[in-house]
Amino acid sequence: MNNSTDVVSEKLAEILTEYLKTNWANSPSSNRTVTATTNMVTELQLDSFQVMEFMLEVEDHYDVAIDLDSLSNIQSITDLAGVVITAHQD
Amino acid sequence: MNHMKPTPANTSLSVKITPYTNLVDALEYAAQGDTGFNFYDGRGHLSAVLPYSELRDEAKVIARKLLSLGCERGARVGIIAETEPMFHRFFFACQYAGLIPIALPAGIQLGAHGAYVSQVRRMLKSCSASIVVAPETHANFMTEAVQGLDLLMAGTQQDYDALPEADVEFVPLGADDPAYLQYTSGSTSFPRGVEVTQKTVLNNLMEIARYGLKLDSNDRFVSWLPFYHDMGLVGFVLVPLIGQLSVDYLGSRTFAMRPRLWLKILSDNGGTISSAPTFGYALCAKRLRPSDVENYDLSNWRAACVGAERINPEPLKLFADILKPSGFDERAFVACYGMAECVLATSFAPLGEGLNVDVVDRKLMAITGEARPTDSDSVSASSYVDCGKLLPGFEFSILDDDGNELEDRHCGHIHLKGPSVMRGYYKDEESTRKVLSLDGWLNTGDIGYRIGQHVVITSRSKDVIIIKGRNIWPYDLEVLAEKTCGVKHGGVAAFSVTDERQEEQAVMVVETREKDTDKRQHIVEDISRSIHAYFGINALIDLTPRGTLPRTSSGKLSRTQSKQDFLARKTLQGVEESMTRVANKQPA
Repeated sequence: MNNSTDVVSEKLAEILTEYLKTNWANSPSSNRTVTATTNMVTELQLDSFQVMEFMLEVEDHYDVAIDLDSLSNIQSITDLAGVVITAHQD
Repeated sequence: MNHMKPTPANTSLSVKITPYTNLVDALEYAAQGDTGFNFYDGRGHLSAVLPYSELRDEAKVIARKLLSLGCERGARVGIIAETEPMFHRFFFACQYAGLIPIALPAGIQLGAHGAYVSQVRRMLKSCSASIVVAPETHANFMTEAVQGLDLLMAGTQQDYDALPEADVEFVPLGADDPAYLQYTSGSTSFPRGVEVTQKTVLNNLMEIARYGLKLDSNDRFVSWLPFYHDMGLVGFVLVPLIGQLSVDYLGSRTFAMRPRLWLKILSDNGGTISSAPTFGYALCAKRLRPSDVENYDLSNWRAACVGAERINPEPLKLFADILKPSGFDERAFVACYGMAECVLATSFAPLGEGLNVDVVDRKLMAITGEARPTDSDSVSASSYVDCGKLLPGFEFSILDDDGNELEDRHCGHIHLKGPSVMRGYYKDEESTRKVLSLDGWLNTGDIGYRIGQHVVITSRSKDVIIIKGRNIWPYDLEVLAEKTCGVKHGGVAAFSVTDERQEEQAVMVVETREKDTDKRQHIVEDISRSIHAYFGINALIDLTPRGTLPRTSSGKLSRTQSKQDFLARKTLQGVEESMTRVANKQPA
C-alpha cells in the first residue's frame, strides 16, 4: 500500500463519492463531490447508519479495523486517511 | 476454528413464570438449566457463551469484589453497556451485592468524542455513581468522563478482577428496592433516571412473558438492540431470564454495518422472538441480496415486535414481501407500545395477526380530533397501527386538555396506572410530580385514541423527537442553536414533523434579525453543523424574523404553535421555499 496521506485521502474520497452515489441516490448528500478536505461531519451530514456502512467499506478495502477512539476523533477525509495508515502499520 | 456451541433453545427446566421476589431469585432458578446468553462478533461468529449457571457464579464473585470497596448499600454502579458478557456479569453482581446498576450509553458517533464523554459524565453526576466499569474499547472515554468525580473506583473488568473478594453474606435488593435506573428519559442536559424497583420490573416481566409474548420452552430470542435502551435491557436480557430461555446477541454497531447478520442468526438458530424499531426492518430490507433470501429459514420467527418510534407500516410490508420466500410470515409482526416509565411494555397487539392498520380521515382528525375511519384511497387518509390491548395490570384513560375522559376514536392524552408504573425519577421529585399524580396516574405525554380496549398511538411524547429509535429532546437542540452567533436566547423552537417518507424529521425555527443572504446562510450552516456533531442527525433550519415565534401568555415559547405555524407556512409557500436544508446546498 502506498501510504502517503494524500494518496489514501484521494482513494477514500473516491470510495465515499461512489458509496453516496450508489447507496443513497435520493439522499441530500448523494451528489456531493467529496475531496480530501471534505469534513464528513459538518459538510456531508451522514447519519450514524450511513457512517457505519461507509466505515465497513473502508475497513474491507484496506483490511483494517477502525477502533472507537479513532472514530470519535475523525472529522475529515484526511483524518480518516491518517487512521487507516496507522491501523495498517499495526 | 470455533468449537464453541451456543446454549440450547429448549430448556431442561419447566418454564416457570412466577412473580419472583427479586431478579436474584429469577437468576437462581434459571441457573438450574442449561440455557443462557450467546454473543456473536462482527463476522457473525459465536464469540462468547454465558449460560445462566455461569452468570450466577461469576456475578457472585464480582459482587464480593465490589463489596470489598466498602460501598454503601444502594450505591450506584455505572456500566458502559457494550454488547458483551461483562454487562450481564456486573448488572447481576449489583443484584447480589445490593447495589444499583445503570446501563450507560456505548454508541459513539463520528467525530463526537467530546459529546459522548460529556453525556456519560452528566449521567454519572446525576445519579452520584460510586463505581464505573467499561469495556476495554471504552476505557479511554471512561477515564475522561470520570475526571474529578468522587468515585470509589473506575476501571475495566480486568481492574475489578484484581480486587480481593469480601467475605460477606449477600443481602440482595428487596421487592421495594430499585433494580436499576433507566436513563432513556430526559434530555442530555438534564438526564432523568427512571427508578425501576424489583417489584415493578418483575411485574412487567411477568405480564410480558405471560400475556404479551406467551412464552414457552421452544422460544429463542435474537437481538441487536443496545442494553442501554429499555427494549434491549428489559426485552432481551430480563424477559429471557424470567422465561429461562436462550438469547443470541449481535452488537448494535455490527448490525449497522452488517444488518443481514441479524437474519442469518435468526435463521441459523431458529430464533422465535426478535424486536426492532421500524428503521431496523427497513435497513435490513435495503441491504438484502436475492441469494440471502433463498438461504434463510425464518419460519420459526413468530414474534417480530415493532415499537420505540411511531410504527410505519410501509417498510414493514416491504420487509415481509422480500422475506416471504425465507418463510417469514407477515402475521409475525407484533405492534407494541411502551416506555421506560412503565419498565418497558404497556400493550401488545394480538400474536399471530400481523399489523392491524387503522385508516382514518386526517383532515377531520386535525380539526376535531376524531379518528373517523375512511377509505385508504381517500386523499386525506392517514394510517395508524393498532397497538393492541393493554397488558392486564394497566388501567388507561384518554383525556382531553381539560382532563375529561374521551370516548372511542377521539384523540387525547394517554394516562396509565398500574403495578408496572414507576415510583418516580431517581431523586427528582419535581420531574416526577409533573408526570405522576398522587393517586398513581402517569401522564405518558403520548397522544392517541382507543378502539374499545385497543390503543392506537398517533404521536409519541410531544416533548421528544424520536429519530431512528433515539430519543432527542427539543430543549437540547435549542440550547445548542442558541450558542450560535446571531441567535438570541429563547429565539429557537425545535420540534419534529413527519417527512414524505413517513419518517420523523427534526425542524428548528430560528429567529434572527440578519438580512444579509450570506450571513443567514452562515447561521444555518453553523447550527446545522453543531446539531450534527452532537446528535448525529440532520435538522431543517428555518429562519424567521425576530419576535415572530409564538409565545404563551406567560411568555413561554410554544413548540406546538411553532410547529403549526411552520406547517402552515410550508403549505402556503411550498416546501422548497420555506425551508433551508443545508445538505442540499451545492458546493460553490
